[in-house]
Parts: sequence; structure tokens; C-alpha cells
Amino acid sequence: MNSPPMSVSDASSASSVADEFLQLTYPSGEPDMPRRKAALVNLVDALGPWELMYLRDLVEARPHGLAGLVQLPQELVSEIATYLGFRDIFTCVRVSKHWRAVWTSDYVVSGYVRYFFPGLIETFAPIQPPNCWNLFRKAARRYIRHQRGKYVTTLAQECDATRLDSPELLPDPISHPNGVLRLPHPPQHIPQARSFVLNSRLFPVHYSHGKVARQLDGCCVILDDLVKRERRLVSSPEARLRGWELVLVAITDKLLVFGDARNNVLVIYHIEYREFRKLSIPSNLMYLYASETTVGFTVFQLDDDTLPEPLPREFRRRPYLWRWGENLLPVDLPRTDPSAARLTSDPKCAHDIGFVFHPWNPDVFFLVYMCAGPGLPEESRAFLQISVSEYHDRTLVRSYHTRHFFDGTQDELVRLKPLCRAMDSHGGVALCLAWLETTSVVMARFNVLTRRFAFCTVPEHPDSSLTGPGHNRRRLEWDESVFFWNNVFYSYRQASRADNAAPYRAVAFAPIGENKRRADDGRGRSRLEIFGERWQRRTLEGGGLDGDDNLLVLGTEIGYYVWNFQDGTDGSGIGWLTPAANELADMPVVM
Amino acid sequence: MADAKPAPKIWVQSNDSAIIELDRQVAERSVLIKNLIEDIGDEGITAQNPIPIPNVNEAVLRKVVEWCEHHRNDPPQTQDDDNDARKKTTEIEEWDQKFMQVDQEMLFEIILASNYLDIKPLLDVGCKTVANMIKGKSPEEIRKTFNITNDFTPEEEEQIRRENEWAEDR
Repeated sequence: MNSPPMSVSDASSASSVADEFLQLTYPSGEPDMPRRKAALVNLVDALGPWELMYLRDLVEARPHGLAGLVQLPQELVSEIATYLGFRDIFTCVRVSKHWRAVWTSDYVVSGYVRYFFPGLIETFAPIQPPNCWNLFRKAARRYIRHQRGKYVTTLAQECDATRLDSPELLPDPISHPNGVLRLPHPPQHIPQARSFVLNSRLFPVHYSHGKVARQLDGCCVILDDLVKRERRLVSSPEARLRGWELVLVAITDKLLVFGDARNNVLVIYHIEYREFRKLSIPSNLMYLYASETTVGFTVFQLDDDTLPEPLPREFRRRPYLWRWGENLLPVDLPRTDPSAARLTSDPKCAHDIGFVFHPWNPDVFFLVYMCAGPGLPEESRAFLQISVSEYHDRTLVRSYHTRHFFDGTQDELVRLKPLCRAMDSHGGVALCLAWLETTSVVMARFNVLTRRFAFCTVPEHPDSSLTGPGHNRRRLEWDESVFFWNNVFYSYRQASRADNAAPYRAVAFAPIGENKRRADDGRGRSRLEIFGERWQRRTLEGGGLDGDDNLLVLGTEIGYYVWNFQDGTDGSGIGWLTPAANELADMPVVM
Repeated sequence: MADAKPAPKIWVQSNDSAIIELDRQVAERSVLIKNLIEDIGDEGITAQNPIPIPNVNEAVLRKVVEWCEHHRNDPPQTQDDDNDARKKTTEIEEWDQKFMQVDQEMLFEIILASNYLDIKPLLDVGCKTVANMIKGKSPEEIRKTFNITNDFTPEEEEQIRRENEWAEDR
């Protein structure tokens, strides 16, 4: 019974079977499919069980194809995968050895990774050819962990009163146990950020690469390094001497950027060198973006002569770029698309310019030009137009354009909120939010590695009772703090409940992108976290969200909260920072 | 005015020698055929000299033509549509759902044919249909759906399950 099957081991007879099979053609030479099928059925009928298994193994060992029925080419398997969730893909891997080989092969995986995580392969390709399956597993794991941040909490109404004052929910990292840095709550003397449009919130969080900066007064900032567990007091002697009122505008891995709105001065602190640089800027600061040792910003432009022709008088802002060790230079604006010239002169259009930086190449940056308007005559639909111009070492290389149309009437005002900040660790950038009064919020995205645009929908806020009077929950509040990371949308609000009870805070989490999807997981669980309001302010200004693959930080006037998504944590979702609040408060101060 | 003229016809031939006549507008749902017509001109295509479709048999070709007939007036897909990285849903419109109620062999043949003929919307519907057959199922249910034998040893299965445990919904 162990004798090998004759038909398979005998080479000459096997080839004659194949020859006979191949001769089943029409006179024209085309394969005669019905007769070939019949011949195959006859052959399979004639095989013994051992031979059938051998045949099955032979067929399944082929590195392409999906099911046993018909072999789908690999690119179609990738295509199918793009319609599945991550969990489904991990299920497919468990079906059979053949399926495992197909679904984890580099070719198939790279196809769907490019869809799910654009830029991820490009992030690793310059270093080494990636093992796509491992890359995908890690990225999917990060994503799922971030998404799980949502699954814990209770509805606002169910929030029990004891939790509101629970001390462990109110870590206060600034009050130092030995009293050296004990602060009033809220800190008293932070200068108003007069014309700093981006910085109009009172207590924004400034987070970058594990470092959190919090402002104490007009010249002092506390810099917490959550990775090294180190706290530093950063204070500019010159600012104190001259009486500047500095506002912390940005933090990067290397720099802290301050601005003084009255004197048009930027003060930049190098975290490694512990060194200050002063920078006089030509006019009032509008928006500022920074990465590593590069700072890009826009100022109000007053002399119109130097503006390129398509720019209208209303559109008076000019971008500048500065790098540590280099001089401040204006960025040459790209000539906008001629068809955009009319848009830019339309007073009903909203415009903005932002900077986006390459994740690892300091010579490369992108200037983002955003324009939203109530509709061109021929289109009669409100639109959002975006141009991204790529600069290498301050020289314009090329531009990318895209346009999005809203469903809605053309009379409605389009609201435009520039973001221009990274939203994943592989080149994804959130460019801006735009919405009409009657439509859902659309986010424009770009990937600086693949140079591709995408538009997606921002989920509605999950709890309408969170919005104040006259607020529509479909829309974002202008000053609502929003943050996007790994395709999860986070929003922070401080508001009154509908029944006029005490104001409270909430963070909502939701996956972005699926159309009309509410920030509710459909399982009766909401994604709100309620905090106490011991030092509550009556304004909505306060707080900000920021983060990366590992941490999510929420700043409020009473301190900051941290979610930990790092490897090694069980991914079970939300938790206040694993280093407990008191541990955080005990961080040694390095002067 | 133009309506008075009969719609221009195109003939295609399946790999089992069946010749199918269809409107040019319908045939141009296939980018492959559209390019072909543009290259050789529609005078070159007659009932005696049809376009050969060597990879597709008559049954499948008729099915594909049926889909093209129904979708003859659909607006052409713009290139921007695949711009949206996260917009994909697996929702299929009702007519297409009914259309795809065929046995698996036919389903895969339709997918292959639409891939070959370059009919992107039909390919999307096909891929969505397969995706819906996989979505939310357990490995065992997928095996049943596609008639696949589990060739993992229990140990191997347990190991793979553990590797991906974190992805399980909780």
C-alpha cells in the first residue's frame, strides 16, 4: 500500500498525458476548454486517494492563487485585501498553508500595505528591503492599540460623581513634591498670544518625541522628558532682562520655539546645546511649523509689491524658513495654477499657507497652499483646493495639486482649518479640515513619501450633549482641539452638558475615514473620558492634544494627561500614563 | 438627430468561438476593447472579423456583457477616485449583488475576465463580493466557504493563533 503511484513517477507516461492534454485544441489552435475540462475530470476520477493528495499538494504549492477553485493572480488578492479589516487578514493567514503563503507573500502584502499604510514601505526601503508581512503586523498592531484607546469609558451621563474628583485622574506633574516648582493653578502670568493665530489657546500642550513642554510665565518653560524621566526648567535670561513676553509656539525633537508678539521676535532654544538664538521677524507672526532644527512660518505681508501676481491683496502672508545655523530667508512662492488666480482674488474664498517637513531628510520641505471657496460658476459646488510644493534645499522642485468638491449648495461658506502636521510615522500628514455648515467635516491628507493626496471624513462627535448652546454636533468647534494619529481621530472638548450642569471635559476617539460613520462603535460603548473640573474655566480655550506612536498627551490648565500605547504595554487600551502621576511629579529637576 | 442612426455595433469572439454582438458604447466599458477600437478603427471590426477575447469563454463573456449593458450609462470613473485611501466600503448596489449571485467558479472567472478586459468597476464589484465572503468569518468558516482543507497540524494552528492573538477582537 506504500507503493508509489505509477502515473506520477513514470516520467514518460506523465509527459504523454500532458501532451495529449495540450492537443485538445480547436482547429484554430485555441485551447478547447470544454474538452480539456472533461479530460481533467476523467483524470481526477482515475486517481487514487494518495495521488489526489499529491496532486492537491502540487497545486497548492504554487505561490499564487487564492482558493482551490480558480487561481486568482496575486495583485487581485491584494485588491481583495483592501476591502477587508486587519482582523480578517489575520484570519485568512490561519486558513491553510497555501493561504498563509499567499496572504503573507511580499508581493501581496506590499500591495495592501501601500493601501492601508501609504508611505510605510518607503520609510524602510531606503535602509533595507523590508519584510512586508512583519512590517504590516507591527503597523496593524499599533493601529489596533491606538484604536482600542476608545473602548473603555462610560457615557457622560453614566459618569459617576466619585470619579470626577478621583485624585489619580488628576495627575499634576507640575507640583513638585519638594515644593521647588509649586505652581498656582492655573499659572498666572502667561502672556496673551495676541496675534499668534495658531496659538490662541491658553494652555496648549507642546509635545514632541517624548518631550512635553509647559509654560510657566513670560520667560519660563518646564520641559519634561518622559523617556529619560528628566525635568528641565528653560528660562531665557535675555527675555527676562528685556521684559519680553514670550509664548511657547512650538516644540520639536531638538528645539523649543518662543515668540513675542509685540516685538516681532522669535526666541529659539536648542534642547541639546542648551543655547538660545534670537530671530527678528519682518512682520507679525501668523502660523509657525517646526521639525527637528527647521522652523517655517508665515507672517502678515504688508508691502504688496513683492507678491506674485495671482495673489490678491487680501492674501497678505509670506512664508519664511529658518534653520539652526542658517539665516532667515523668505521662501519663493510657487506660481499658483492660472485657474486658481481667479479663486485667490475672490473675497469669499479662504486661504492659508502651511509648512510640512520630510520625516528624515532635513533638506526637503513642502509648502502647502490651501484654498476653500463657495463654488465656481461652472461647477456650482463648494470646493477645497490644495497645492503642495516640494522644495529641496530651498529650491522649488515640483508641485502637486488636488481638489475636493462638497455636496451642498454653492452659497454656503466653506470653513477651513489648517493643520499641517504629521499623522503617522510613515510620511502621512494631515493638511487641513474643511466643512460646510450642512456637511460632514472633510480632512485633506498627503503622504510626503508617496506624494499622494487623500480625502477622508472626520467622524461626528459622539455625544451631542457635549456641545454648547447653538452648537451643531456634526461640525467641529473652531477651537475644539483635534488630533489625528494612525487613522484614529481624537477630539478634546470642554463644554456644558445640555442640562446646564457643571462644565466638564471629554476626549473622544474614533477611527477616521469611513463615510458617515459616527464616533460610536455600535456596541453601546462611547468613547468619552470625563475629567474633573476642579480648576474649570468658563471658556473653551484650554487644552490641546498631541502625540505619536507611543504616547498621546492632553494638556489642560491643571497639568497634562498621558496615554501610553508603547510596546510592552498590553494594549488593553486606555490608562493614565503608566508611570503613575506621583512618579511623574517626582521627576528630578535638571537646571 | 443622432438617435435616428442605429448604435454602432462591435463583435467579440470568446475562446470557444462564440461571436457576440454588442453596442460599441457597451463594449467601451472595457478599457482594453476601447483602446483596441481606437487603434484599429471600428470599420475593421465586423461579424466576420470579430475581436478575439482568448482568455474568456462564452458563458463568462455573456455574463460580462450583461453587466456592461446594465452599466452602459454609468459615468466614467475618474482617476481621483482611488485617491481616497480610506473610503473603500464593501457595499454593493442591489443589481450588482444579484448579478454576482453565481457559483464560485463563475465569480472567479468574472473577476479574471474583468481584470483582463480592464473593466475596473466590475473588478471592484467582484473583489468586494469575495471580500464579503471572507469578512467577519472564522478560519473554519472560510475553509467551508471556499472548500479548503485545513493542512495545519494542531500545534501549528495554535502557534499561528497565538502570534496573532492581539488582533482578536475583545
